[in-house]
Amino acid sequence: MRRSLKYALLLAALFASACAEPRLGKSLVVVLPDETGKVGAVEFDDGKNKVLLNKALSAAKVTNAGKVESVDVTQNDVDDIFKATLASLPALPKRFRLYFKGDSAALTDASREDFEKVFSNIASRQAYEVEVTGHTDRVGDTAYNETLSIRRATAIRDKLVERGINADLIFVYGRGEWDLLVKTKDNRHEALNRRVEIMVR
Amino acid sequence: MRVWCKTIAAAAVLLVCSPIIDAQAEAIGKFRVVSGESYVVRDGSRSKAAIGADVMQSDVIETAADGSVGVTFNDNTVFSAGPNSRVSMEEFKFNPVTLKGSFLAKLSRGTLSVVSGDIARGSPKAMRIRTPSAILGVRGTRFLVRVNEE
Repeated sequence: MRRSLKYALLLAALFASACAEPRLGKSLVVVLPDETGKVGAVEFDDGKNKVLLNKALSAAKVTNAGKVESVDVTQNDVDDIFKATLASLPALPKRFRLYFKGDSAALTDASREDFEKVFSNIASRQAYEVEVTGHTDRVGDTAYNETLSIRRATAIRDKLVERGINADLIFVYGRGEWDLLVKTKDNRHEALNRRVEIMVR
Repeated sequence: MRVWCKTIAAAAVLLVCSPIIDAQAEAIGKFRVVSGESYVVRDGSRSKAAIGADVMQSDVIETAADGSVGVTFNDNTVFSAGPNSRVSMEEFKFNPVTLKGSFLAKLSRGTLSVVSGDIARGSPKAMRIRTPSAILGVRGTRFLVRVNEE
């Protein structure tokens, strides 16, 4: 008797799982916090109903009838369903800024230390591409500054290549005094404008 | 006569060269992670995905049961597709100066993990992900999608 009850329950459970609405729907969307804990927002829309998701682990599914509705999702669900997916997410692109001494392609002392962070970020990636864009302040004429900005960017490329970063994956640009971080009048010294911007992706 | 020859020659050069500079043929992103059996379908032919290889508009990314891929796009959007997935890059436009554009991908099956980039910072309709029966409007930034039907 007990045994047959057990079978009956098992059968019922199997039947339910085959026919019933899957708990997490035909399609599922889950919102996650970023590395600082901040949560963005997405809107899931079936053409008639919309669900706005803007809290950590807030989720919506599409029902068998094709309707979008909110659903409760736990961290365990996320781990179960998305573990392999999350493991393949590439390192996020990161931007760095390094500063230079006046009229020079030599880094300031503080930026010499920051260069190590740039290098280790690139070196930690499986695959990468690096854009280095040089800038100057407004001391000197524009043509000279265009050249100086390229010298700065090239100096950083050379330092990275020296440490083993692939030269073919570093792209160098110079913007002279055309893209100031701090707007100044002509011929003003401005340490914040003597820089390279580095995009690692 | 000479002028005509030059014009015709110039036109011929333009005709021959223009497909090379066609915006459609530009890479929109790159594979940064590839594991297991993972493929890209382009112009009807299927080839293995490779780390560092380009992703182009209209590409379809497919993964087998042991496959997964990670892509970094030109607008700094990053996504990964898990096992048994199929993702079509239906539209990707990005202006690196204004940082505006549009991003439309379709997930037909499997899973996607997304961290949105510059395009999603534009209008709320700039970045969208379609599933077979609904559409996702992205304002930012981290989210997961699964499609369990076909």
